[in-house]
Amino acid sequence: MIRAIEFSLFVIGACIVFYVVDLLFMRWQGLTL
Amino acid sequence: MSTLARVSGYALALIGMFTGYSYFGIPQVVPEPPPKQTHIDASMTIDEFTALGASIYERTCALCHSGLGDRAPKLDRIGSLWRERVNDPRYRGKATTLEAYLRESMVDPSVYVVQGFGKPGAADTESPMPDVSKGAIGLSAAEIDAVIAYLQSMAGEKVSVSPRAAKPGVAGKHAEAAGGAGSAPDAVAALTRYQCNVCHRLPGIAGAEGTPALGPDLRTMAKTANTRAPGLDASSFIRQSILAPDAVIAQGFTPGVMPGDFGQRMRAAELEMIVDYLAKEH
Amino acid sequence: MLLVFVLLLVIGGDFLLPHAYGQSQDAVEAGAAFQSGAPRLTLTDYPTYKGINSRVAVWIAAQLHLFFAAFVLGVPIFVLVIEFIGWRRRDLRYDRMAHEFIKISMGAFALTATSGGLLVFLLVVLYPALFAYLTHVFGPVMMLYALLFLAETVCLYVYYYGWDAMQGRLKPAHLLTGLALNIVGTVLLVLANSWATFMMAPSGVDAAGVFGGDAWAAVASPLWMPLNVHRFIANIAYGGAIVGAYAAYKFLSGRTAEEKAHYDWMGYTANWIAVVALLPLPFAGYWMTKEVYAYSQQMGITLMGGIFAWLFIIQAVLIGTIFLAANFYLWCGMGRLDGRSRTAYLVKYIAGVLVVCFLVWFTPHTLVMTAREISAIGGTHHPVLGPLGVMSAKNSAVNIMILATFLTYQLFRRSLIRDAPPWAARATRLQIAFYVAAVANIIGLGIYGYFVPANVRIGLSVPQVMTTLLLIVVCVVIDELIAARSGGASKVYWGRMPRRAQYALFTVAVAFTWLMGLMGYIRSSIRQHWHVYTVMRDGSADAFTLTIGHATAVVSVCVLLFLLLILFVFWLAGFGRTQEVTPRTAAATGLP
Repeated sequence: MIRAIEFSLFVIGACIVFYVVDLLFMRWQGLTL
Repeated sequence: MSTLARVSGYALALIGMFTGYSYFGIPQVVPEPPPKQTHIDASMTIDEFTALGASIYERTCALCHSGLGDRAPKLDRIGSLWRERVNDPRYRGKATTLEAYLRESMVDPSVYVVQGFGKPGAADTESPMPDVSKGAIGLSAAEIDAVIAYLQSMAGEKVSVSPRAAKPGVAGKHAEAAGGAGSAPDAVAALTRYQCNVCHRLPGIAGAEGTPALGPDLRTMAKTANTRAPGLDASSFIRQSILAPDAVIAQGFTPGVMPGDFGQRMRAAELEMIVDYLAKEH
Repeated sequence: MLLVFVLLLVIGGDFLLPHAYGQSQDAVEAGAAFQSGAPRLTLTDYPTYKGINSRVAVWIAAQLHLFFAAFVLGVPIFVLVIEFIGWRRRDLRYDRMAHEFIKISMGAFALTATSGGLLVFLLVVLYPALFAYLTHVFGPVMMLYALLFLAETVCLYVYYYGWDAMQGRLKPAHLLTGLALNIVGTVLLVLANSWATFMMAPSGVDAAGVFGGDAWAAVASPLWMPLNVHRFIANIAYGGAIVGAYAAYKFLSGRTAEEKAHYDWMGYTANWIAVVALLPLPFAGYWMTKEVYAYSQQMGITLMGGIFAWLFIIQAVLIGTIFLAANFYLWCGMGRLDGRSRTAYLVKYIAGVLVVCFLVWFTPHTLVMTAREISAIGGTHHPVLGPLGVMSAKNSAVNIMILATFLTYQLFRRSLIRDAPPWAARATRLQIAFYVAAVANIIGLGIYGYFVPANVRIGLSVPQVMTTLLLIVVCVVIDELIAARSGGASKVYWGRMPRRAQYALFTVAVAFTWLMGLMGYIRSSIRQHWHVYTVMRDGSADAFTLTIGHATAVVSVCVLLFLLLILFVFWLAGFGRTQEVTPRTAAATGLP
């Protein structure tokens, strides 16, 4: 159970990281997401 | 068998597969030949001039302005849209007539960019369209007028340009001699190219009067086409009749006479031109 | 021999080519010939010879030169890196492998020069007016290029022949020689690239072709840097692929277990180089295409939406082949380890994912169709599969293929680790989470792309790439940390590979070569009926664009000729002492 929560947190954290990547690299091109 | 033979055999088989796929798995599209060069001068009729404009348009402009994907705006409604655009606050040009607007759009396309078609990152202030009088397109002033004539006639507006007397030897780079391998410039040319007038009486084309017609008279298609087959409107019926001639046989005529391969031979643009032409009242 | 060739080129050029900068009356007249721009050529300006199709002759010579040049420029790059690693780790095996790699390519250097010379002479004889114009613009650049071959020769021969002599204290000097070799090679690459990109997107000349005199402006075409980056990386991948084929061949013909172990190790390393360098290539290609669109929408659309669109379907087939073959080789490689890996069950899913992605990439979109075809499918795009044919879907597919390939490699690497630290399990779960998020992000962006305008959709490809790269970086960092803190590594039984795995290496090499030929054809042909796009029209009888079948037939001929010649090169490499050392299986694995 704890493992599942931990894993979910990892996934959410990773998704946030990638979302930031998306925003950054769209802004870099002068576009909006 | 030695390693060399096995490995060579394998390499040959692999190369053979790629080559075979390229020949038999991919449609062998025959590219357009390079454009020929012809004269434009004052002895051309307006129709010839407009037809020339159409052929230049097909060859050059239709690549982007065909409505496929969203590369460039379609131009079929330019006759009604141009005034809106000229009055749009984003318009930075000086045109007050359709002719002037068209010419401006061709040589200075960034003067007004239709929403959504601008270069990325420039908020529709910069057009990806090149100046057609320069570079790879390189239309001469007379050729630009020919395209304007075509666009005006396509929009149903009066053609306000005429073929100018060009200096001898000054050829347009993109004007194509009629009968080249490219698409026919208009419906009449297409109908003539595919010899429809040999069997059918057609609107606007002189037929062989006196000989018994091999196929139905098509001059009144506009009135009757939408009643010939249940569920098909006029255009769809005409299109079906060209692509699958034996689907509906007119009274008094026999199946298997009209060629069934127009679908292969005709360009899509030519088919649509013919369908539109026959569906119109003449 | 190279010296003689260079001298011939310089002296011969003096006679054959007009002086752009001379003082004689002839020179003034020749120079004046270009004062109003590029010449307008007609059929009579092209010498023809019975039995020789000028276009095909130049094409074959150019393509052979490119195959060999890519090989001989790519190999020294990874040879230097491997030698450096061997020096830092004080491991002679790397040094010996690097030496063997460069030995394989020695025979190819002469063939590179030969094919280059053939190309130049064919251009001078068959396309004199074009070549005169190009030398008018690039004269000084070409002379520099020819002289740099002297430098390349010196560096190469010192680097290769001095290898054993320059050990120990002289090793740094040897490494510097290798570095010099690579720098000269790269300069040669970018100089030659400038002529190709000038022909596609001329710069430094006005619309009529009048040259302003600034050589740098002519070199710095908007397509120059994208082509430089693309070819630099592709050369590394290609060098790896060809060397891998050599290793596979020697493995199959090896008689002792020692030989097989040695060439298995070499094949693994070469394949690793090829795959790692292959991964950034799609993005170099996207950059190039983006610059083509930015330079000329017309050229861009001809490339992707016009008559060349179908060729990209063939490209998809080839790249799918390369990915599947490379992955297959890695899967077979798991057999080098003891026992069945816990993660071996994933392989069939990875294979499935690769196949699905390949099919998405393979789906066409905007095609030239006949009226009947349009009528048959009810429109200009397929009602069901049409949506898959666009950039959004294809970019997502390629990124997933890269991730799947990286996963395969990661599974192999992780199976080697014994006695991992206690936190390794949690770190692995973190990595899995990153994979899940990465795939979700890539697919999410891909789906989102359908709902936004075209320019935004194309822009989405950048975060997709960055997602893939970030995932690879995160996983590599974590893996290295685990490996550094673990007890040891499993035994790798080099040589324990099935024969069919070696055919996977041949597949990579052959498909790679064919793909290069195809892509080179596309890049050249989007100029269509221009020698120099918009500036100098092609007035020859061959100005038309070929059908796909004919074009690919010529590509196949080029590939066959190249394979024949490279077999000769491999044969030469077999003389003398072939293998240097066998890796000890009980010791460190010898993996990069």
